[in-house]
Amino acid sequence: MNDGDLDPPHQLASAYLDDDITSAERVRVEASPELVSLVESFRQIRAGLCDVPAPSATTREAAFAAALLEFDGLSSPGDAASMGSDSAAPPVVSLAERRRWPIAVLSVAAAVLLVGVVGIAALSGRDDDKRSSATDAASQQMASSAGEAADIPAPMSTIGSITGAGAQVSMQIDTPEQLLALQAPSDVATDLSPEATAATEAAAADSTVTDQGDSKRAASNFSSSPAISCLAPQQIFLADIQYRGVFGIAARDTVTGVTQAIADDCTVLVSVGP
Amino acid sequence: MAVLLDDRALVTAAQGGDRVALDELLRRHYNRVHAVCRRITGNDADAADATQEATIAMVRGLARFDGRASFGTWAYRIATNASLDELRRRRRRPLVAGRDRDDHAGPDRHEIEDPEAEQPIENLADRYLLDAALAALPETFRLPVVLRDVAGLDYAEIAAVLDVPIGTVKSRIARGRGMLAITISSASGNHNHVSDRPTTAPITGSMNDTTRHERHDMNDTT
Repeated sequence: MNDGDLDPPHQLASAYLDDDITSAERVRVEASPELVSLVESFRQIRAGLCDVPAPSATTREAAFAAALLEFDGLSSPGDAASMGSDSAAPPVVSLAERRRWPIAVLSVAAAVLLVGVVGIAALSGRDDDKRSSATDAASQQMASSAGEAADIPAPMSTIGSITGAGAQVSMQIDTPEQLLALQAPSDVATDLSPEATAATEAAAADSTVTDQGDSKRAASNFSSSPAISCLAPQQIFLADIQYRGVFGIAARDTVTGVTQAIADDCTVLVSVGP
Repeated sequence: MAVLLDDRALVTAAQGGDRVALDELLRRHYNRVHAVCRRITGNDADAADATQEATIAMVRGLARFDGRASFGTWAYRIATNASLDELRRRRRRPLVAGRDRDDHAGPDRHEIEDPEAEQPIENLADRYLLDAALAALPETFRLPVVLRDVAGLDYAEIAAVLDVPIGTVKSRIARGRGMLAITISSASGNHNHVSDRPTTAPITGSMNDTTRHERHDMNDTT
């Protein structure tokens, strides 16, 4: 049986359902109870076919996440041309570009911190013992600090930790409105310049420097997300978030007021103006 | 604050690298893409896989989408191919979701299983019957019926997706619907419901129907 070998009533009823018949054929269908019944059964089949159980939210979001991940891969600088991009300001910022400035800032901050520690130690050494050299005093101070650090219990949380009591909990954000409504914690808003971030990270890496209180304060101030390194100089950290299921942070530009959701890989998920 | 953009604007923005536009575009068409996949594959698990593959394929092919067809037509073509690929990977005809299988986590499942709700139970039986009938329908007829009744494509769009003449699309849809009606009517014992004259081919598909998929080039949007 080929495609054209078709029962005319079925063909007529099907065409009627799709509104693909002449007026004469329409009159013929509507005059026949058998054809009307057939049309109705086709209509019920159509309704049944469209009645598809919705997939779970997890399944749905997984599909979006996979697709957007693919999109991010295609949007990398090498493939930008393949996306046909000619817009003035594509919101997807490459990882390399995002990470260029933090490396330089971290290097400078580490150097400044080292000079500061040596200087403080030198002054302290003069007060305690005028005959000691600044270098000796600094060494003693560092050794003393190390001893104190060994005596005190470890901080409850450390920068980058996701298990400590002070570890950041990601906030679920699904809409730009929710993102825009986020407020910066007061200490973060005043103290989370990139330089401060870098300095604190460098300090945290040097176990001889900070006392317990400083360590706790620093840890509570900063995100556990790797996206914290993606912040531009004028941006302040707002919160660790999951934007539509993607982990990252929320940040606000102190100049423009624009709030962004930034993924852990430094991709800007969304930008919302004030 | 939210401005509703049409598909064309979203496509243009997404092609320009706008991640949010792409996200909106995918979310807008997800349910129907999933429905197409669900009806072609015949069960929720395969449909979920096919839908995810389809969304990824849309992202990969977005730069080549030239807008000659609507985004929906293009998306359903991709969904059709993804579903056929899923069936081919598993080397089988569509599976019918069993009555006792918890194939989906949708809230409507609990409503259907409410013992005091007689009508929904009948609907569940109907749904099972329809699933079985559709799974038994040869692919040649199943695809155009799904694209017409689930995706809502017109004859010309279906002809473009399946790469067959419009006349063939019409006749296959009519035959497919006829086969479904006869199968369901016979299974439910309601022979007066539709014409049950033996005018269509028996609804028995061999594995050859599954392995002899028509592959439709997703890069060709016309």
